[in-house]
Amino acid sequence: MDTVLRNTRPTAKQMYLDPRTKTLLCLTVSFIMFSGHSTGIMRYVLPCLAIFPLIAFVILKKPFVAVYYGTMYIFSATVPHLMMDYCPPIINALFAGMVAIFTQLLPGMSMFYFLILTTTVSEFVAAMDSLHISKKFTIPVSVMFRFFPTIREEYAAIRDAMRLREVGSWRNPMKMLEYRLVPLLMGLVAIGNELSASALTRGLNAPVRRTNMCPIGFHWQDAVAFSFCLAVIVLFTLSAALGW
Amino acid sequence: MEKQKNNKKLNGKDLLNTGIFTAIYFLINLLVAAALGLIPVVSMLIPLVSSLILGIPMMLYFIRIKKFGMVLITYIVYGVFLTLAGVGIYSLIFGTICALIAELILRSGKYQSANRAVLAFAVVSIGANANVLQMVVAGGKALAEKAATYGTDYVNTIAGYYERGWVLPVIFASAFIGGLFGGLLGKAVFKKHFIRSGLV
Repeated sequence: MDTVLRNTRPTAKQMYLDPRTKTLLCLTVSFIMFSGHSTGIMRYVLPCLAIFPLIAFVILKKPFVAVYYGTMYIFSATVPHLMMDYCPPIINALFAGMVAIFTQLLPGMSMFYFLILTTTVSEFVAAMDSLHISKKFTIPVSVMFRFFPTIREEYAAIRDAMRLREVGSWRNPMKMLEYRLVPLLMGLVAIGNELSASALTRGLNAPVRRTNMCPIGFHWQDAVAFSFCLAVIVLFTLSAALGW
Repeated sequence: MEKQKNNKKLNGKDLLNTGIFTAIYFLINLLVAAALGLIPVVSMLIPLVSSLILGIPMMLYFIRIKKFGMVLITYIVYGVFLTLAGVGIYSLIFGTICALIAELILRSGKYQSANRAVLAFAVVSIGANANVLQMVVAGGKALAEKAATYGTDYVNTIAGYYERGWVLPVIFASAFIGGLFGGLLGKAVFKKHFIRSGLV
């Protein structure tokens, strides 16, 4: 009997994929984008990989992210080539290499963003659990995701307070660093203590395996994604080894 | 906590602490990289500046560490994040190695010595900033590809910038020095604020 609670199929919010599949996709895209030459057969494979995050953002209905990613990629892929002839060599020497790297970095970073966007912390923990990855890795990571918004919130409050008192400006960076970082750290350590008390009450230290109700499991869409990754890796190996 | 003082194994509270400081580490690194990374020449300063600023939070973390493994977990998590984000696997490999060395340094002082914590942070800064290596490798590779299109003149100009032998050692040395000064700064701040306020 399928109820809402025991639903094992990933929904649209998770891109219909298992977190492990998404991790593999993310790794494949970032590695191949970074280490693949755009020669031979890879000339067609690399754009396919670059377009993948774009498709993902469109399916997730994130038009702004999709447009932003597309514009940035097209900009960094074409503009330096067009400007190359009109710029003095020194500017080319400084910027062209950097922009070339950026073209390779962008898809990997977008895939990482996609991974975070579509995976909740408990899904992530459940997936890592089924891969038998130690708690020593999963607890810090889940705490990190819990903490990113908190850090932002705390920092905004401290920044306002310091502006009100006119303490530390850009003219005095050391002072600014001290009077913003120190209160931030004090606040965060206090929050951390409370958080750990609450987590321990809920059995974080318990030696038993954590149960969950997350839709984790492999389906045909995961098989498609896996074969896509496999195909890309095989093509990459072929092009690297045989010079296709 | 008092009850488990003799317990050498990491418990939930230690892991939570690790997560909190890894989050701070990751965010500040990201901010520094975003602020400086836009300008090519200045981006070579990222290791120096980020290690310098990170000295303050990391000293608060390193000095309070009493068990083996927390530094290691921090840098493994950081490295895995960077690897997934496509910045390259070098931070994971070298970060893990340097974190192991740092753990041994901390352990040799029996987790009591603040000076050893400074040294450990300086060592670990080198490993964490090894992703620069990826930039250099990929930069060279991307340029080699373009040699056919843009002619050798142009490529020679840029290849010189990336593949000069002294660039890498200088970057790693700057990470170490940044870590050292950041650590000393952090130690001073630690004494001035955190001990006085009774946080520790």
